[in-house]
Amino acid sequence: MINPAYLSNWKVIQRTLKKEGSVSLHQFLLPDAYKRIQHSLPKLKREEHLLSHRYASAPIQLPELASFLSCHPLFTIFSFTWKDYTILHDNLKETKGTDIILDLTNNWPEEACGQIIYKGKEDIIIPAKGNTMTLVNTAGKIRYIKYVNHHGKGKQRVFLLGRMAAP
Amino acid sequence: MNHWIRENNPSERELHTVFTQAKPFPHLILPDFFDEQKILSVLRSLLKEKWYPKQADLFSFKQTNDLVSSQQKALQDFRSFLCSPDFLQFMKEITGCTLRKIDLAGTLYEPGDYLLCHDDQLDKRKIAFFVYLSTPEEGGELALFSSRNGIPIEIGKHIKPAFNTFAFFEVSPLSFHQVEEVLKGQRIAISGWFS
Repeated sequence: MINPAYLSNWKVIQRTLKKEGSVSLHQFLLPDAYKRIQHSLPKLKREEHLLSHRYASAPIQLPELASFLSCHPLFTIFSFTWKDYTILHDNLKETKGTDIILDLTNNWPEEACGQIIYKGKEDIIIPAKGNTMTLVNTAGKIRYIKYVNHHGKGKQRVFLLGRMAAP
Repeated sequence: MNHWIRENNPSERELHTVFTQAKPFPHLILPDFFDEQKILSVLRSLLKEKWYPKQADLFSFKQTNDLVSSQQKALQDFRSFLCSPDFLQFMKEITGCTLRKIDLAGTLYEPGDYLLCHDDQLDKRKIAFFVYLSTPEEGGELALFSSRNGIPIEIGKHIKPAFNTFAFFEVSPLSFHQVEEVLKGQRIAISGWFS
């Protein structure tokens, strides 16, 4: 399921994550596995709270990733389309750990925005790129999703987000 | 005062009634408000100011520095007029608020730019205002939200930006508003707060 190049380099990935604060693994899944996940997504529920967020989401289990990550993170699938966003707000607090993002968006127009942004001492900006897994050390950072503008009209920015708690 | 404002406005007493009774919260829209030649001069000068991109979770647009630091006479004169005793008295008669200080800057929204829902409450802001200097072809409306239990629920009013319109609203815990994404054209305005 997972690109063998990554399976044999987990320790290098962990070292990079520790040093750089984030690491992106392109072509993370083998093509068949990537298509299988894309076509087996659950029905998403739309949520809108004007002062904090607007998107569709649903919980999802991915036991196939557990052995690679050496843990069983809970994943949520998110879909952002035109006018969707999340906003940082007073009740939002940083939590130490690692975010795991598996991007399922193909051919997303960059000008539509919708990036995942980690705000901290140095911001980390994660653009949409299909079949990419990104690990982000969340200590000292808070996350938001940039408003999707009209260039994203008719398209969906879809990704899975899971979390590994700090040891 | 008469040099800057056209003379066809209703009386302050009438405007006060419109302002206080406006829904979803007190606001007023005054089309063709300023002398056209003067406001065109303000626009021309504003476009010569330096514009800075502003990007955050809540917004995307370009902005000038506060116009208090502008070296251009037309902008200095306009700012002086807006915080002149006569104009502050005019605003007091409409809003009922005693106003002493003004912060203002130019804002430029291009296609894809927006400002999401918020209430503007900060420091001692009493009145938020907009002097629209362009009419975008599509988008850029100011949306005012109705609220329930202190939470914005739905858009109660759209204010379409149009050249030479002066609009303002009372800042309060319920003054939830947003600038809709500009889809076509440019939305140029001078906006700020009286406190």
